[in-house]
Formats: sequence, structure tokens, C-alpha cells
Amino acid sequence: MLFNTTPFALFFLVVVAIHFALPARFRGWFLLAASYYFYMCWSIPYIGIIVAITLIDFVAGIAIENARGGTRRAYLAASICCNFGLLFAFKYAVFFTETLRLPATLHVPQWVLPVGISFHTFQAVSYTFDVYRGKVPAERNLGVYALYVAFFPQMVAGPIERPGNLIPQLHRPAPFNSARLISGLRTALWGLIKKTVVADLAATVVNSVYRNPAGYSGAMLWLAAGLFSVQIYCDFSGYSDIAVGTARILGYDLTINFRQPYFARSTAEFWRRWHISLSTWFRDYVYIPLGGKHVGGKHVGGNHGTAWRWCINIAVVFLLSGLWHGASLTFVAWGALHGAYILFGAWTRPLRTRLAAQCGLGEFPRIHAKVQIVVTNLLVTVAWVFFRAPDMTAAFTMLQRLMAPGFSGLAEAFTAGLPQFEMSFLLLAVPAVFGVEYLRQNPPLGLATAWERRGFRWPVYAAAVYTVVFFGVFNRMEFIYFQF
Amino acid sequence: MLAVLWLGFYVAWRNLPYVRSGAETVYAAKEAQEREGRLFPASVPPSRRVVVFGNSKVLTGFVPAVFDAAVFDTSAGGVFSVNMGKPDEAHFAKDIEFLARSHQLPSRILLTLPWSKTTPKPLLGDDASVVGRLFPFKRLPRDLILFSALAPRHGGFLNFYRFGETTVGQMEHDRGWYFIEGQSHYAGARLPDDFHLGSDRPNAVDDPAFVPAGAEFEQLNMLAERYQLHFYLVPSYHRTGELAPSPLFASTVAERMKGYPRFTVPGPNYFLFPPRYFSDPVHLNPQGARLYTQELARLIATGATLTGQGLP
Repeated sequence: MLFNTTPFALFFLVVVAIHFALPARFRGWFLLAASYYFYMCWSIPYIGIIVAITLIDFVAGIAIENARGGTRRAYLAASICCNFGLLFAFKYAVFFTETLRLPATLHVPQWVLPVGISFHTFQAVSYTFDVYRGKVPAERNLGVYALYVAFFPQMVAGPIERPGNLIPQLHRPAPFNSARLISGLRTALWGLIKKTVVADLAATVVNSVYRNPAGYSGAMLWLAAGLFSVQIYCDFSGYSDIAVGTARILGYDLTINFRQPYFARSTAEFWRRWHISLSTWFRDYVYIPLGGKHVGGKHVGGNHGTAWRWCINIAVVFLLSGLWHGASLTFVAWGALHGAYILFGAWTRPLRTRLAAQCGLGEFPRIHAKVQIVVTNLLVTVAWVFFRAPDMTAAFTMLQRLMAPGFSGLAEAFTAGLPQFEMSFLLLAVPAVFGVEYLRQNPPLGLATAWERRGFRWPVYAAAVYTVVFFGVFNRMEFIYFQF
Repeated sequence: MLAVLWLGFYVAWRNLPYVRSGAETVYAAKEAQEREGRLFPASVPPSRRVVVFGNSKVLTGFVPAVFDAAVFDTSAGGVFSVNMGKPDEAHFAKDIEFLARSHQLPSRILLTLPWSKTTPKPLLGDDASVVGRLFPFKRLPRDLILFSALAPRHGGFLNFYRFGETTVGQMEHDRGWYFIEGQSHYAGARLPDDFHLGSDRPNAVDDPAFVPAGAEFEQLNMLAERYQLHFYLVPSYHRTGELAPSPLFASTVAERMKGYPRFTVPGPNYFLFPPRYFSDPVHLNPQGARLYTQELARLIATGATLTGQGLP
């Protein structure tokens, strides 16, 4: 059941109505039943994986809390092995068998990838880690813990919640609140606009070009690469907004997953703004345990040894991040490229600072910032080529042709799958969406004051609703991150 | 506020039928023709009636007058054909049921679309349809913007609006054939000879689309039996270079359809025509439409000889 479909709208209406009609003590169980139903709309047998992960980590959490010394570590290790074992079996076994060219006699079953398995596995692992570290107490209520793993607004594509944020909320179901309803609807509506009006429209052009990159001019490939940057942001942040909005209506606050990543001034900053719940997961459970930037108690730059360790830490985090997205070399390459950007960025920082000063950019910090934003977006867009391409050959074909852009082929934009009106609309909608995002984060004083007035707010809501009606695409295009 | 706006948009949409794109106006007019039982003159008996169903390719590609003239010589009494191609339409069983209820059934039906690839969805499975029913004016802003952009080139708003009205009249006169002139951005509504798109696959033969399976096919087969209809699965068309040529006879499809005597496969999966016969990358111009129709007529006539199931 996709967020951008009629069945989900009906399902959510029914869930909200029953949820608030029930006494508070039954709401959690009802939401759990609704969440399992939501998941079973994709696959009934695979609900077994969710139940297995839930039971394993529920028991592991209590066992870790009750144990002492090395036994705690053994329970943690057992829990992690079970979680990642399931993830490996379903997502990576075939990839590693093929990549490492293991003998054909080693028969590896090819299972259909359970929807959102990477998300709920990581969420479950963060729970056992946090119990082990003593950051949260082990949960003793199985219903609450099961809902933490399976809460339907975020179970298939995040945000990846931390137990410290979500579990306490699940213990205290909030009463109905009209302000939360309006705020939740507003957030979900904005997510729906990004998904149906921009992402799904851009997808038509992107799919058409990526299907046959050799058939298009360099300019057209740049357009498609840029549109994919837009598509993936609007698709994923749109999903996250709908998740946050629907959860807020039900009385729960989820983690904010995006903070205008395309306004970042460096790739390091990009990762502090993009898919925040995943990047902070890797920070807290991989990067810092590996030593982070302060390897061996010394800050990077102290000596060559610690600098190399830091490079390795960054490389490990980004390779794992790439692999998390998918069992394919293209995702690994995408992660590796981002790791390289971070390392190269850190290495060249003094040089770039000197260069900016020599060019006079230091005198104009706003222009300097814009230059940095443009460069960061170029780097990110190039990296997305690996993320989107079906294989490495297609990615390299695309990159090769991107090097010879020219503008003669741009007319192809109007014959690349979208009618002329829709293509023109898309080219206008993209800056409009980013403009609105910017204004939402940084409202000028006049706008903030006007927003307080219902006479201003409600027409904007009506315009937003009719924007979806008039320009939305309703052909059930899946969210990109569902495949992970 | 949402309800008031809904009402306002609805009233505007109902009262300005000819600001819609030509294809959409034509779609609505064809639905009205069907509803009002105006497809065939009463003097034409069912045995002489032919209907061709399909999407916008059929709408722009099949000229009934040309077809009738081309098959007349090979048959006694001639035929009276109607083009029921509608933009973005892929399901015809409901149309045929409707024609049966309003006593407008033909005896022969030409189909071009792969029903098995586009099984009709239940209402809740088709969000576009749900939105379309809740907001029938969904395309109004798009239509108004395009209308405003095109009107100056057609002698102003009033003239362009009247032009829409005339277009429908012309389409009805041409028995459903409609040339989508507004979609062509090429001189003389003709693509240049070297025209190609990045998405073209000149080395790929398109997979034969007709498979006797799926809810739509079952329904068509049932209707064929019940009303003694005969279906011809005729080729669609593409640009030369868009795909590799199809084998001259779609033997794979014909083989699959062997157990269904009310379905005939008279030719290839698709025809290829040079770009000059196209007004845009997908649709034929009037010259191309005549050529395509003549090719179809030739196929049907040959099919008559080959299978004994040709037109009367």
C-alpha cells in the first residue's frame, strides 16, 4: 500500500477514526494490528520476518539488561548476528556469491527482497545497541516494542527511529489534537506535492534517458542527471514528509529526515542534511565506535597514523552506506565516491580557503556560499549517476557523454517522454518547490506574520490541495527508497 | 473553501467544453455519440458495420472513408466503418457492451491494443480514475493555459473556441477520424526524414502483444460468442527506425489465437512508416493515415482470401 494511493487514504482515515475512538490503553495494540495489516498488503509471509526481528531483539534487550560483563556483549553480538544475518540472506547473499564468484555448486536461494528490510533492521539494531550502552532501558512491554519496529508510517522507508525518541511516545498515546491534525496534514500534503507533482513527472524523463543514455546528447544527459537529483529528493523527502505528517496526526513525532540538502555548501554538510536518520545511525553505531575523527585519543592531523585511520573510518562508513542502499556495485561506487569527496574536501580545505581569498571571494561571503552550493550540487549530481544507472557500464557511458555537453540537444527535452506542457510545467515546478522549501525554513518576517492569519493560510492550503489534483501524477509509481 | 472552489471549477468546466485539448474534446464527443446511439445510420445493417477500437494512434490513423472505399471492391454491398479510437484508451469490452445495449453493434471489430498488458483495474486500484471521477475538471487549468497560449495563433479566443466546436463537427463527419494538429510542431505537420528519438530501438522487434489471457480478453471472447462478433487483431504502426521491422505475418500471435475462431490475426504485429508520414513522433499525419488505412484494408482483404473470415 503506497502513501500516494486511494487505498492508503481510506486505510489512514479508518485508522485515525478508530485510533482516537478507542480508549488510550488499546490504541497501541490497534496501531500494531494496523501496521501489520499495512505490511501484509505487500506480502503476508514476510510479516514473519518482522515478527522474528521483534522477538529476537525484545528478548535480547531484556537479556542484555539483566546480564553482566562479557555475557552482555555476547547477547548483543547474538542479536546483531540474527538481524544482519536475515538482512544478508535476503539482500546480499546473491550479490556476494556473484561478485566473489563463489562456485555454482553453492546454491543460494533468490528470495524477493522484503520491503523496507534495511530500515526496520537498522531500527531494531539501534535498540539493542542503545540498551547495551545503557542509553535506554530494555522494553518490557512486547506490544510497545513490536510497534516500535513496525509503526506503519515509517516502517518501510524510515525515518529510522531511535528507541529514545519513539518508545517513550508509544507508552503515552496522545489525545486527539486539532493543531497536530492541521500541522500533520500540512506536512503530508507538502510531501504529496513533492512526490506526485514533481518526482513522478521527472521520473518519466529520467527513465526515458537512462534506458538508453547512448541515444541522447550530453546536454540532455545533464538535464536527466539534474532531474534525477530533483526526483530522488522529492520522492524520498516527500515520503518522509508524509510519514512525519501521518504520524503527527496520530500523536507521534518522528525524526526530521531532511534539512534542505541541496543548499549544503560541502558534501560533508550535505550528509548532515540528507537522510539524517541514516547518516546519524552510521555516525553513532559505526563511525564513532571505529574511533571517528579522534582516533586513539588524538585528533586527526596530529600525525599520519591517525589521519590514515580517519580515512579508513570514512571509507568504511561510506562503503557500508552505499551497500546499505542496495546489493550492487553501482551503490558501492556511489558510496565510495561520496567518501572520496569527503576525504578530498578535508585534504584540500586549506588550499581552497587560500584560493577563495586570492579570488576575492572572502570579501563576498554570500557569493562564496552560492559558489560552494553550486559545486556541491554538481558533485552530488555526478554521484547520483551511479545510484540511478542500472549497471556500471551504463554509469560510465553516461559520465563519458556528460563530458561533452553542448546545448544543441536540449530540444530533445520536449520529446523525452513528457508532452510539451508537462515538461515546461516541470521546469517551472522544480525552482518553485525549492523556493517553498527555502521559505518554510527561512520565512521572511512579513510572510511569518501573514501566515498567522487564517485568511492567508487557508487559501494557501486550498491551492496546495488543487495543485495535487490538477498536476499530480496518479499512476502508482513506487517510492525509490522502498527497494531498500 | 475547497467545496466552493470545487463548484466553481465544475461550473467552468461544464460551460467551456471547447477549451479542452482537441483530443479530449473528441473523446468526450465520441462518448456522447455512443451514449446517444449516433454511431451508425439506421439504414446500415449490422452485417455491414465495422468498428475499429484503439488509442490515439487509431484515432489519428484510421480514416473510415478510405477504408470503406478500399474494401468495397472486394466485397458485395460494401462496409460502413467507424473510428472509435480514443486517446489513452486500452479497454473496449465495456464499449462493446454499451453498443449492444443501444442496438449499435457491428459485426466486425478491428483491435490494435494489447489487452493482456493492460488489464482493467477495479476502481480503488486506479487512482487516476478515482481522481478523475472526484474532480472531472482535473485538466481544466492545463487546458486553459494551452488554450490561452494557442488562441492568438488561431484568430483570438472566440475564434479558437469556435474552432474547437467545428473540430468536433468535422470529426463526426469523418466518422471518428481526427488529426491531432495541435500536437505537431513541424512544418507541414510532417517530421523530417532523418527524425529519430533517443528512445528509438531500431534493432529490437517489439514483443507480440496479443495473448489470449486476462480479464479483458475473457470478456471480449464472451461478447464475441454472445453477439456473434468477429475480431481482427490488426497491426498498429511506428516510425521507421523506432523499432526493427516486424515479421510479415504475426505467426506467433496467430498460433496463440488458434483456439479462438472469432479472432483473426491477418498481418504483422506493426507497420513501419517513414517519418514524413508522421505529424509528431507518435501519430500519423493525414497522408500517413490514408496509407495506414489502405494497408489495413489490404490486410483484411487478404485475410478474407486466406481464412475465409474476411469482410462480407
